[in-house]
Amino acid sequence: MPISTPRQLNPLHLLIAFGTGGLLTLMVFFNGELGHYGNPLFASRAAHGTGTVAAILFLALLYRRRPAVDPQPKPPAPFWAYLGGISGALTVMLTSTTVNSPLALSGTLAPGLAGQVVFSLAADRWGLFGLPKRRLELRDLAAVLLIPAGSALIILVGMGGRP
Amino acid sequence: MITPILYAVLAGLLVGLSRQLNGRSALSGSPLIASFWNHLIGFVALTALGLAIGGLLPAGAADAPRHAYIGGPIGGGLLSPPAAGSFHASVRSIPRSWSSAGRWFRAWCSTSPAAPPRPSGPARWAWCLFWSAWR
Repeated sequence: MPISTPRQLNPLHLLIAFGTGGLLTLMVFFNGELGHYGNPLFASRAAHGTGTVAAILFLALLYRRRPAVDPQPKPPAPFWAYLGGISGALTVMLTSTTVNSPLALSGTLAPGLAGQVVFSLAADRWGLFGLPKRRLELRDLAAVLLIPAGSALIILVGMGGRP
Repeated sequence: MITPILYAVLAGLLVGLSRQLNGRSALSGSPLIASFWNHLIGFVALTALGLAIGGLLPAGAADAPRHAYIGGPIGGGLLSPPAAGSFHASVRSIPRSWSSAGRWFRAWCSTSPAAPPRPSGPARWAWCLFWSAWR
């Protein structure tokens, strides 16, 4: 049954969101730079290779802090849960292409945000991947309309200001 | 122009998909372990693709500045699934915070005598935004 979840905004979460957004932008920029010097495949492969090494290093750093006994054993993940690496690889290839196109960085992020919102609304609406179904509200429709409008502004104004 | 826009939208859809998949993977382990598998599987898949179609090590790749390689560690270590998930949740909540900020500007930020000392300029806008979200 669809549920309507209350939204309580914590300022700390908002701060984290801004910080994370900045890091994401930096990541897209760096990956785009790799794509500029090499190609999208090289950019994505380099990002995933170095990301794997970074994850191993972080895991090694946190190894000593793990609990001796897991208080709540977790069920194994289904096979499909590991396919995020494939979609992530495609994502980096696509963004490395678009950052080096006339869209540039901001023009890449804005339509990407629209795509994320559309996917999240679909996931909420139909309860994809085990998410609870959520009734969509008028506010969600506003987001769907406003984000593409904002994206169009960013792209068109950016194009207009380009030498 | 339409092709890059479609690519960017598709990339956004794939980000949403990746977030769900990695989030499910993290439920069975930890965010970092999920991030590790995510990056490793992507790397293996891309290596296989490169071996099949070529372009694994393009000619100009050696000229790429070293800082450009930081993108991977940012994704692999710092933006592991839960952080990305909370980012998304927060992004969806930002419109509400902005509307709250507008109300708060009128009701408190600029008029209340009980207001504590505030910064000025852009910092004041940012501060008002956070305060409005808190209320």
